[in-house]
Amino acid sequence: MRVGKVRVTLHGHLWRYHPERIRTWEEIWPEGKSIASFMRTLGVPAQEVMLYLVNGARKDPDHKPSPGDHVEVLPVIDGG
Amino acid sequence: MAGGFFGLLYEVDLETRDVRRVEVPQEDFRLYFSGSGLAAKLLYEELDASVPPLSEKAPLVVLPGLLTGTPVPTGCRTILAGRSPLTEIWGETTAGGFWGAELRKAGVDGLVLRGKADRPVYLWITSRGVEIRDASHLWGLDTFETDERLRQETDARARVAAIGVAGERQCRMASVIFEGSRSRAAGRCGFGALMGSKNVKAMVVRGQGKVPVHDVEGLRALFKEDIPYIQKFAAGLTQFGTAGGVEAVEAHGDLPIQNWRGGRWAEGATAICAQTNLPKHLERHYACYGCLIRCAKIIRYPGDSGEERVSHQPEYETLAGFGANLLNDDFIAIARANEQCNRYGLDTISTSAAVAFAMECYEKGLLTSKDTDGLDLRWGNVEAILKLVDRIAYGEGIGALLAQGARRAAEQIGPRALEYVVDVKGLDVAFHDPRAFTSMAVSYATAVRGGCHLEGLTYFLGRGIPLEDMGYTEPPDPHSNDGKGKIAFDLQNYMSIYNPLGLCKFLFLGRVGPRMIARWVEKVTGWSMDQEELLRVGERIFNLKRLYNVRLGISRKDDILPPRLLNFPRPDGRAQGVLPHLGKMLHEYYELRGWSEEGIPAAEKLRELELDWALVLMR
Repeated sequence: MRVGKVRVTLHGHLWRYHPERIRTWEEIWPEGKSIASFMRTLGVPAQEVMLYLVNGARKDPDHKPSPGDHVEVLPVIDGG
Repeated sequence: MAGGFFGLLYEVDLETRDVRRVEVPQEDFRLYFSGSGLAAKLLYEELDASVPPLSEKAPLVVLPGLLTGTPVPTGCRTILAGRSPLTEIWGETTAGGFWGAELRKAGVDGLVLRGKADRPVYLWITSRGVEIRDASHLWGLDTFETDERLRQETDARARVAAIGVAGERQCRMASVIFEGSRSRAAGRCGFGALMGSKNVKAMVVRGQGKVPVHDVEGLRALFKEDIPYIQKFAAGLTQFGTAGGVEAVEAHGDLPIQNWRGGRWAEGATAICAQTNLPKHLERHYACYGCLIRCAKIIRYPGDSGEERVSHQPEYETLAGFGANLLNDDFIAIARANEQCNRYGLDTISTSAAVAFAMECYEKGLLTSKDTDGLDLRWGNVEAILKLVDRIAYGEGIGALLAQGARRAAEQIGPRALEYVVDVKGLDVAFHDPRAFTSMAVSYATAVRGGCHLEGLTYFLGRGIPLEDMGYTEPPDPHSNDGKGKIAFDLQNYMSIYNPLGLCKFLFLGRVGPRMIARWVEKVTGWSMDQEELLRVGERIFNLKRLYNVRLGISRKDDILPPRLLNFPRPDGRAQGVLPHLGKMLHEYYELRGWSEEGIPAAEKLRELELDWALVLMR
């Protein structure tokens, strides 16, 4: 299986779901893995996600990033 | 028999000390509900544009909503309405808590206060009527002390709505604080000053009856499904309160930073948000009357002398205003500023906006340390922020200038200072950025009371909260300019029924739409009500309040945003470079509203909304 590095940023409170509690990191991303599937692995609840951006453009949850992409995850805002 | 109201108001003449019972016909409740809807009808009928907001002749209307005090979820809110001392146009402000339900349980729908008492008084309201009592011994006390003293004097279970020193001094940013340290704040528009101008320190109520409900069993049957549904979607609010949204708001570029100049503040947002602080400071959760969400949090935190203090967690707006917008990431300092404002009876939005304005003037050299009596108003200077709040409350030095609000202060400082005022129609813009969710541009520009986020709440759609009853299933593009006039039109009509019904707008976060609310209104009142009719009432009330403003000179020229939000893009972050195309949105909006190009409601629209009578008074 081909792998490549993908930059991931969890915005808002979502960074708290990263086991090491970091906002941005380089992930060795298995080829063919969707963003939604990866977020499930991290434990980010789907109902707390408003949208996914890949290189700044909105993408569906089943989008599969390519090496070198920047995946950003923006939360639904509950309070405020 | 129709339920939901008594058809009775107490009209209190503070000068003569007469209390008159005024009957209100059922038809008025049907057309305007109660709360801010009925208040709009009453105030429009007697509006005299020549009477200044703080004149003895200016009335203050106090009306809980039509569902306040009933078993309907969140049916708790009380509305104060009149001509705003801050903006001098239509003003309304609301608070939750238990006061409104208590008043209705005393067998009355609301109060109209007129004239001015010759010395400080408080109102003691029970099922026997209204008693006007001396409050000379309370003048000068803060709202927490006043709450305690008045419950000792009257009834331990009474509910108190009081002003602090800011209202006594007629500071135009003064709030009315309900229930002391639990601090349910009727913050906006300066109604604390109106109470203060009438020498009314507090309104205390004890009610032991019931609000009539047409079909209690039918209502309870609805709740079996409705309540779990709401609780499921509002769980985040239950856990952290509005303060749980700070990080997410920042992520969307929606958080005001350094008087609305910044773009990113992620680490700061993390430092001040509830997820970081509530686990350390939570004392207990608190729910308003009839509320199943429980968003309010009481916290323990250290005071400035190290003593332990117990007070309300700062809400999102307060964290944004005293935090991000001042570049202050010290949560404890914000908690102190929040408690100061609540004790003094100051609106945390306008007060923190005035501080941000002063800090920018200081940075740009329009205010110097000589003007501030030595206060070093550098961004994020916690000590200076807290001292400035004291000075605003007591009207001391620079505080006297700022106590009249940022706009009036800028007019005295000089023309360039007006660049740093972020308001609409004189009301400081609440802390959600129309560059992050462009629908808020038209929503703010046309909001009846000015820079109010609650009249449209269109950013809720943009942040991923659907409103399926009205066809909004997917979030609109947050940054485009297309269709935003329609969003503002739809959501203003919907949100315009909340204050007349006395419901909390956080029901929207619980995915409650007009269909569910119409069913509740049917069961409480016995009237036939559906979504279409409910929204028609909302549209009627919104137009009536607009007409009130039109009679005070408001038109399209005033439906504008401040330069900071219209012309200056955020430098980075999610909303980087976005500027709303307000003219395009307004064009679409006016067409949907049936208003002229000048923003005046057309006669045909008013007839359609059964507002012919209001048209007559326009001439």
